Amino acid sequence: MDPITLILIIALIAIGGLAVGIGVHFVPVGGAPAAMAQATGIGTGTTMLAASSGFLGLISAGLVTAEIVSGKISYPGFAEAVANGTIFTMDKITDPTILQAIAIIVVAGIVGAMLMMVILCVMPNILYIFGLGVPLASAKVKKDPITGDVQYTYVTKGTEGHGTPTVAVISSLIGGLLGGAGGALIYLALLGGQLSIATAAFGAVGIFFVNSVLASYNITGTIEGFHDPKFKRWPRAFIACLVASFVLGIWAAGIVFLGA
Amino acid sequence: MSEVKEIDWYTLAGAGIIGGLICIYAAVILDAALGVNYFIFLGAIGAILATLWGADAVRKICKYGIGTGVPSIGMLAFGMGLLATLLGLKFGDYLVAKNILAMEVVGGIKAGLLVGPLAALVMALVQGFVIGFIAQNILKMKIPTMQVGMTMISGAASLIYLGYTVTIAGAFDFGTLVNNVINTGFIAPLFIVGALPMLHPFNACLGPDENQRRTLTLGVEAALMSTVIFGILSFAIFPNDIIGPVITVLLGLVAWVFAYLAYWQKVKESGTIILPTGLLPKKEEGQ
Amino acid sequence: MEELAVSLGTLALMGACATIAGAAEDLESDFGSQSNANSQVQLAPQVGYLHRVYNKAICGEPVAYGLLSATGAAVAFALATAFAVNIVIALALGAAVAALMYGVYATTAYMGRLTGQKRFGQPIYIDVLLTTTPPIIAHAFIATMGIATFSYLLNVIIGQPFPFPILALLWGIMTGGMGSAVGDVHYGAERQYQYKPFGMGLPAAQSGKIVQKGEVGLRNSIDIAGFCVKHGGPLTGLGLGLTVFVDLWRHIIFIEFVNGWGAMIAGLLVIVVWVIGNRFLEVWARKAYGPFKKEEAT
Repeated sequence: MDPITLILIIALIAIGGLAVGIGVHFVPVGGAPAAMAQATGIGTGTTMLAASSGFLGLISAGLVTAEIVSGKISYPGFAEAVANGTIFTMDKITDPTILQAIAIIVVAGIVGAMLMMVILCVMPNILYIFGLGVPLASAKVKKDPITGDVQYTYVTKGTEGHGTPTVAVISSLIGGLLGGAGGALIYLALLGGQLSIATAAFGAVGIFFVNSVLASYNITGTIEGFHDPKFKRWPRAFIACLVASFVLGIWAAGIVFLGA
Repeated sequence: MSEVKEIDWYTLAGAGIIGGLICIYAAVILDAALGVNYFIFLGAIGAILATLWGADAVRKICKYGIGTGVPSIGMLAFGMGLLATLLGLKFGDYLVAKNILAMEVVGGIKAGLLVGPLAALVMALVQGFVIGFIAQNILKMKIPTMQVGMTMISGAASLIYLGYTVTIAGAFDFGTLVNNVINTGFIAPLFIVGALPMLHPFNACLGPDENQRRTLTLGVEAALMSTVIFGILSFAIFPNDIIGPVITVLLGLVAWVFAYLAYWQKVKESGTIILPTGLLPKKEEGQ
Repeated sequence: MEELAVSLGTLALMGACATIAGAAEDLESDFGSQSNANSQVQLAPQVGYLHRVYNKAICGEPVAYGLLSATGAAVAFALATAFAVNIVIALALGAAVAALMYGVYATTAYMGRLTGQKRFGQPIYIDVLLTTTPPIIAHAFIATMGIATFSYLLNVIIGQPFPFPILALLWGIMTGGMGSAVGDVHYGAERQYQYKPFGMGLPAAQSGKIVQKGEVGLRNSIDIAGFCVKHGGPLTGLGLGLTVFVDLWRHIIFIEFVNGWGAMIAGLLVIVVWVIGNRFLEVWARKAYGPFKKEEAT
């Protein structure tokens, strides 16, 4: 087994896991208070919100990988490199066609995750506005940093805001971008180690969960996005997710190594 | 009720590890020695013991409030247990392939292969220890039971994977796990139907009047339901030899009825008001 | 061209399945007060508000639906492989097994949560258990069947290579995420606190003080689903249906352009459209509803 392959597998899993962990911090999570129109954000737990968007990214990335392997879109050499486990060797990884294939798979993951995230943000907003009759507002900032709208006058007294205003939507998109890219990278890393498609997919799900749960332990409850004071905690999650994913990467590289 | 002494979690860990491993090994060795698949239900019993261990560890961690839902910890345990388990089993296969520990134990099973589950458990424990260390010292969660608890749930998750893999596919080598459990997609229920009995008991029973015996009874009840499900799944792996799966499903159903009644009994014993129907009870004024 | 037509037809069917599954999912969670709304049902007896509402704390909706869909799909796959059962019947049987198991989880969660806080005097009502569990099982069956069916179609006809129980798990978690993000808002903020004026958020001090009385008699969980079916359920269904439809639509139609990048560009455009739409909605709501208090002079 080429040592570069093993190193790249560990590195990709560590980077992917790190992206997931940091991405979770961008997602506006309101948890139960959000569902009571008591806090800004989306009314789901941190872990599962990040997982929901990341998994659509994973499904999209898997679909695009299958299209490349089946030859529907042509990136010659990628299918063989995945099949014989040489994709993470020096001459393949510097081949522009292979790099383009990797890029399109990662972008597919990003687009899927961002799409899920934007639907998860906007659908509840429709319900907040037409079902409850409340405007969208955040109590953490006085003015929306992106649109400049005044926020605090629109917040019901005794709450911490309600709905997902534009700044939080944008923040969630960044979260989706990082989460989708991370999921797709982990999937590719495992697939490149000649694991079966199902093993790679489920390994990615497992690693995704570890990082999103660790990040949600760091957030403890609710966060609104990059404008939230809690966002300053990210360096802790940075180290935590990097170390955790690195260890998971070593296990994965071990499986690949013993499989040779 | 509360006078009943709680079972120490190291006792449960011992029962989970030793009982779980014995059941998993016994299932595979007995089946191989007799050339049948009747004993696959033993794998599920091992998994149930591990579930008890894990459910108690979840209970001890989540008592402190972890800032997010209880289920997430089960997802974490199973997420980190997966790769560690795969690597452990791969290690067993590797020993066989390299002819290390190649003496035949029984029915064509080589000693090297038997190292697999043990290696998987050890690696899962290491993984859990690392994650527990991260949660405690880097994320600064300040939960005194975090370090040990995380190690335990990771180990329990690994044993649950192994136990139910034996129930579904009748073996614990890497090839069987990948071909019969992962590539068929049965890993999805294995992940989540295996995790629920570990995290559901505490999530369902939490509150100031929570009680260990009742919580663990619920764990057994839930794990028996999972056993029935995995029994059904194993029909797909043994389509021509359905006696083993039938035994698993029937035993699981019968035992589940008793476990459910035992849980109901515990609920009645707890002293909660149980009304057939009616209006809300009158509260004393001034509350 | 024919292949494209088959793909798009399948996609339409998948979208329909997802819409039905999403709506059923939200109503099922309303029957049991699962996920977010559960926190209030759990809190109510502690602040002196006893109730006759089901308290189904199996786990959050995403995990619960992952459980249901993965079980349903895997049992269906097992029956289809082992006994050559027709896949449609196998999916129905699988969904039935999963929904029954889920019903058992629901009853143990109801009893467990109320026993765990017996000191607040909330009784366990056997009739609540017996009348609310069947609708839970029924709605869980519809949702599971829908999710397992479109996961199967995604795998077999669209050609997503993950085994379909894994797809069902992933879609189940997404369905639960959608249900708790969208549908729970209608139940949690509106139905549980109907005495508060329309058009305000719920002040934190009001938490747990849920409505106890219904239109006739005491409020029960079946009334709640009857209310949420007007808005929360359909929107959840629409959200999930759109997720399934839009993501695969942009993939199927545009994958052939620019060597695959067409689908990515189309996806990004769709996202931009959603964000712009959201902005219009936000501005409209601010204008139409007005602020709660005057802006301070700065």
